[in-house]
Amino acid sequence: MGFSTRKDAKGVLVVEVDGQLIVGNRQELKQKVMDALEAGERKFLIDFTRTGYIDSSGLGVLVSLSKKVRDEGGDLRLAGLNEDLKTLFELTKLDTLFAISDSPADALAAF
Amino acid sequence: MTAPPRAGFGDARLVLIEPPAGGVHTRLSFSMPSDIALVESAVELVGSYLLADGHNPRMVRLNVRVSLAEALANAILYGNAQRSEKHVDVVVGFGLDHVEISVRDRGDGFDPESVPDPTLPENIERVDGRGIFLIRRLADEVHFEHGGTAVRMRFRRSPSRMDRVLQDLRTATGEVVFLWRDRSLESGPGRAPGGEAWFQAVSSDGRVVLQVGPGPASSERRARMARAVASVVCEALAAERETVAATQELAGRYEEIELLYTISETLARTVRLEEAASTIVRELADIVGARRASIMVYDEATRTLRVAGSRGLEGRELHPVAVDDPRSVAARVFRTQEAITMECDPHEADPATSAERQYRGRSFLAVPITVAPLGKAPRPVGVINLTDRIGSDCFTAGHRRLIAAVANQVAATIENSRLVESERSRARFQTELAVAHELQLALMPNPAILARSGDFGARSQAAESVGGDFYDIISLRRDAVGVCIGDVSGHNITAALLMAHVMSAIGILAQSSSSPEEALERLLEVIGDELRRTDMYVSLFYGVVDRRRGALRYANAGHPHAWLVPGDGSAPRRLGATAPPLGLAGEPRVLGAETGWTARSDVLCLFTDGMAESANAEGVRYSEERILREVRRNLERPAPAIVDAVFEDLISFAGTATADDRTLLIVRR
Repeated sequence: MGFSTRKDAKGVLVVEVDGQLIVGNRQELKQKVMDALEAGERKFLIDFTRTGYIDSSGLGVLVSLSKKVRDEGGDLRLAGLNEDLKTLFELTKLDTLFAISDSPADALAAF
Repeated sequence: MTAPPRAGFGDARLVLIEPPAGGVHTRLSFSMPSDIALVESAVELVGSYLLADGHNPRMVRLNVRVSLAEALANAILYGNAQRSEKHVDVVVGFGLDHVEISVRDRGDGFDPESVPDPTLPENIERVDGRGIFLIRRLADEVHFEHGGTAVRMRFRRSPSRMDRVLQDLRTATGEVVFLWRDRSLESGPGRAPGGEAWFQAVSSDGRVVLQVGPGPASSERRARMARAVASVVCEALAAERETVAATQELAGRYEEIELLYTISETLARTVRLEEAASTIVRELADIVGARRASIMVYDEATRTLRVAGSRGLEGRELHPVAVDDPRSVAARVFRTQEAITMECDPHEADPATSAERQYRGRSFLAVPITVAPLGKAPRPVGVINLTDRIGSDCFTAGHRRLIAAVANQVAATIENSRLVESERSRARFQTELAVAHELQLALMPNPAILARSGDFGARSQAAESVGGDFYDIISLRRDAVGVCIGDVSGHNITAALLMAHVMSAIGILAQSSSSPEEALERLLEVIGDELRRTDMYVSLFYGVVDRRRGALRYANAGHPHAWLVPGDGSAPRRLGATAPPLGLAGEPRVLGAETGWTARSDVLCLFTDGMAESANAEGVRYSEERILREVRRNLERPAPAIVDAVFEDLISFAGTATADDRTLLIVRR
């Protein structure tokens, strides 16, 4: 359970969410991305391949991060959402707010 | 309905409702403190009951899970403002074709209509406000009650095959058709809400009952319909049960495979078991549903099993256990190398368990961790213990196999760990010895240089790669020469360093002291602390050959083999100890002694224990006598030749292998 980060060859910071993104751990993700943003990172990919569940506060933190990254002239993308998670994004119309790719590879190619 | 409850909701109550009210036949209720960390467990608890009741897994995983999690989060965060003493009450009503979940908090309520639609363009970027929206979208019906402190969510059962069969029946007969699960009713007529009905037992144990009616048909017709249909329903039920079981079985297998992969990865990433043990114990305990678990590793030095990683254990349970302890199940498993699984009867008193061991007589599984290197006998290295299984079932044979598979992986890691550690210490040791050896070689006086200032012969043969003997020859003023020989206790790097210290100090002290005894006393001052600290001692002979005065003055701190062999052939004179070995007896006075010396004739013969104590195959010692005899026999020859002659004789007597360092010093001046 947790978040792991790695740098891609194109300079994209990939954050892998392992398990869940919920009210209990969303601060950690926010902190990681904000710290990286402050350190100069501008390209972010949140990889949900190993994520089973996102609650509404998790959705909220993604919205917040998306705004902050955009304000700094950066680019935040999401990838690897399973069927259930895709449904959540569709229901809440957040699929229109984010750039969502099926696979991390697709997302990285788009940067 | 009996599903295995998970998590610690001890007060969760399941009640049957007879007769069913509003279609709800069973109600689950529990109350939880306002702790956000418990939401996950609560959702899992409800979910497990729903799955057991045959609800569509996706519906449970997405619709119920998200809605219930959001409702609970709202109740905890907003309703109760996270005041943990304020509880959240959850009631789940199970109906034939639906499930209804109510969540109530103890807060002041709110107006659900006031929550804006987060999907409107102006709200899409708001960080909050999606919880209620999701509930409304995912539940079939949502009602806010009690001033907004309670939310009631209804989820219709996704039509299953059984539902379609019943629906067809309803349509075909015009009768009400219900399937009662987990009821006990005898086949026959009975009252139902709305009129007369016929009840037909479908399963052999009578716990599933088909209700046909009330409706337009006569009682007799209804009975015929019910009997005719019962076998169809029975088959559909069996198929449904099989699917559910297969799905659960599959899920269980996937979980186990996932576990083995996880453990394999975890162990591959580390060589030390301790780092991986907590992760492994947690994963294992989760998968078999054990509340308490531990991995214990055998410590050969103390013959105990100590806990390398645990979960749910406290206090005394974490103490090491002696492998001979007759009361410990883990110890028994270790000794016999056979797994033990205890029956779950809480009232049975097994001599292997006792109150002191804190096994509460509940389910218990202990599996040995055994290393079996190729071609060697298997060796036990630890035990995996699991106990206190959530639910009433025992650990199964399947669990035992799984844990045994994990035990094998853990065994491999323990073995690797041990091999790596022993390789490391061997390498470390080799390096230390090599350094010490180099140091000693560098400090030894060079015979070629010595030869320029007199007739000196010296040879030192170390027993191991690092020796304890040392000797030195020091040029002094007024044509005098200082000669010393000594022996440090021990053959390790500490001894080598001490020896280096002594040799460098004696060189300086010899030059600046007015007598050998003063030199030794000052040496003791210099190395006294080191001797005390390392608990070592040094035997040392230091003599000054003053040929101008015709005298040999010496101080001997416990060195047993110092002789003056007169050049005129008369009997050798022992140069006895004038003080105990340095470091053995505090700070004694070092006395000096003096004897006559005939220049270019007399020979100073100094050697160490290893020379005299070398024994032949029969165990006969070479002895001082033989050394002195050889010296006298070769007295005419130059010192180096005398040394060679003695060593030759020694080696032919006792061989080259030696238990102690052999050093011989011959000085003629």
